[in-house]
Amino acid sequence: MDAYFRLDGIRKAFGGHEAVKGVSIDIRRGEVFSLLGPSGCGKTTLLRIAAGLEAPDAGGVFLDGEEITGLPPERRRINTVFQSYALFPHMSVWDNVAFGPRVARRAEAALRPDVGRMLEMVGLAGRAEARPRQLSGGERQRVALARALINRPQVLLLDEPLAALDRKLRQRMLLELDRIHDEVGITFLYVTHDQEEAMSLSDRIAVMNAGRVEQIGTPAEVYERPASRFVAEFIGDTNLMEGVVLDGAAGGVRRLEIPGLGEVLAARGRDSGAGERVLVSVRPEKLHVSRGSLPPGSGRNVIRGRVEDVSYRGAETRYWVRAGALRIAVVEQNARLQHGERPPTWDESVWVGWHADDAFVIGSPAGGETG
Amino acid sequence: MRRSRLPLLAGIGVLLFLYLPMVALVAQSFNASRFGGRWMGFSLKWYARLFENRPIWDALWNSLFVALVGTGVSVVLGTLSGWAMHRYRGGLQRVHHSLVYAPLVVPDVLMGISLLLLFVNSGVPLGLGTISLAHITFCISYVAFVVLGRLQEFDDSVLDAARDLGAGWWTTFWRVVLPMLAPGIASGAVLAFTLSIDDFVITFFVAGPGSTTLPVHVYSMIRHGTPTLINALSGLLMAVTFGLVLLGQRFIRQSR
Ligand SMILES: Nc1ncnc2c1ncn2[C@@H]1O[C@H](COP(=O)(O)OP(=O)(O)OP(=O)(O)O)[C@@H](O)[C@H]1O
Ligand SMILES: [Mg+2]
Repeated sequence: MDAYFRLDGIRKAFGGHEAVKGVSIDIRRGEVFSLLGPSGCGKTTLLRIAAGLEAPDAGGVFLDGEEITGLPPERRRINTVFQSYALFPHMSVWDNVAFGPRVARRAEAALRPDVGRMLEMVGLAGRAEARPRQLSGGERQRVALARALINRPQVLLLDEPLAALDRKLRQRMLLELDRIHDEVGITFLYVTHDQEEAMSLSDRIAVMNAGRVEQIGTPAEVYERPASRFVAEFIGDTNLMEGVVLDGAAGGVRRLEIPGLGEVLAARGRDSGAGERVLVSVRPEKLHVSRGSLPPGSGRNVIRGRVEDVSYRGAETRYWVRAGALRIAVVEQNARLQHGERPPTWDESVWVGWHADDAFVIGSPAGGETG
Repeated sequence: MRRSRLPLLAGIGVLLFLYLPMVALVAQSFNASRFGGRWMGFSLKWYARLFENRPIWDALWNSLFVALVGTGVSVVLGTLSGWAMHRYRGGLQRVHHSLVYAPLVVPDVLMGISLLLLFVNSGVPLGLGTISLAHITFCISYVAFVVLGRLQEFDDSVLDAARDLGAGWWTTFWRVVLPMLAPGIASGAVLAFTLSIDDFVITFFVAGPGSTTLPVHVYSMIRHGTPTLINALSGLLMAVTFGLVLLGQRFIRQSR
């Protein structure tokens, strides 16, 4: 499938400080595409360029095959849910939602059913007369959503729409957003610094860092196959081990020497030649910890360590195991606890094992491309 | 537990201090006595005389004319000035800020003299025109700062939102900026109007022959000795002023 909404080589500096350093993204029609990155990495700037509220220093914006880089925001069929909602405080909920159609000079009689339907969809039909300041955070967010969606934009931009909400409400609104997206079928460009939000909502994610895109992929791709140290650390927890490649065929299992751990096998990730210094990432839930020795099947890594910390979290238990200079995080599902085996406890000597398929090589430790 | 009586007494004291002179004045305006002072019985004759006194009415119309023109012009210019100070930052805006601020702190006498010198030296005939110009000059500053105060709580992202929803610059101004600023502009206008209506010092300097405003006229009446008429006039003015203040507070409350 080809790109429907495309940002091409976008750059933007504010008085010498480069906020966006050459970002290219292709978004497909009807997709939920997320920009995920830490605070200040340029997400809002990129969104404002997409909306036309800011002009890029270089690069182009294309929508449905047409270049719209120079088009002012009022002439783009793109609408935004702003980070601060930016509702009009002097208007009722109804008038806020009706603003777009009225500005487009649609007849009052024609827009009335539309506004009603929008308010229905976001569950605010009963609050049409309220002023924004009388609404809760979640309700404001939904007004902002209705106000943008009523214009039937070709692309909807959402700038951290759930950031101001508490955890429970955020999870409910995520499901709501998902439902609304299914209902309207509009392309979403969704900005967030919350990886859980991005993972559960998006078809694809662009992970951003310091004005650049580090990786674009499905949630599973960026989680299972991080392209850089930054991505591995920013999305979920991970164990990073630094070592030297001993040998390894392209695409096959590589042998690495990790100082303090000894020889370790890694089957995935970047191709790397013998003698190269690399980082290996292993997600905590891919590791297992056991007091008895683990079966050393083919392709398995097994090392010895001592439990430094244990933290019971209900559904899972987290272990921190000291092995040489490394402190390795392990997550065990507690489903296993019932089967008689006493789980390892603090200061116990244990075995930690993981499969070579779950060890992912991600480039040099200096992290050249991560800056 | 007994509460202290002190706050109550202090409160009454302050109120007496503030309002006793006015009460006395209003009471005197109903006094039949020719010279005020001793109570000679209730009478409305000073009010009746007041209504027959042509020069007072001329002065009042002049005052109203000046106040309306002054308020009208200064509300437009002052709002734009406040908007400019809020929206744009930089060296030029700091100069602008100081220039608009100056009339608030420069003594009226100085303002009056400098304006008079300006008008005389540039050959402008003194009259209602020069009075209006002078009032516009100082009213702009008050309006600008009242509007600027409102703008501090103005969330600029609504401007982006309006454009994002398809509104051009002009529509954004009419449908978003103006309604949001309306309460501030209204209280600026009320302030400008009241300041203009009772300005004496500056008006005194720039008023020409035959173009006197009410405060200046009252001053000359005192000098030529008709205090009882002035009492009646004051009573009337007070009623009007209270009305305006109540109206102004209504606007301010609505803006909250
Ligand atoms: N109008 C501006 N003037 C100057 N600097 C700006 C401006 N807008 C953004 N920046 C800078 O550009 C960088 C990126 O800002 P941006 O708002 O895009 O970050 P963000 O990823 O949206 O962060 P957050 O998650 O905190 O919203 C920041 O360092 C910010 O200080
Ligand atoms: Mg942002």
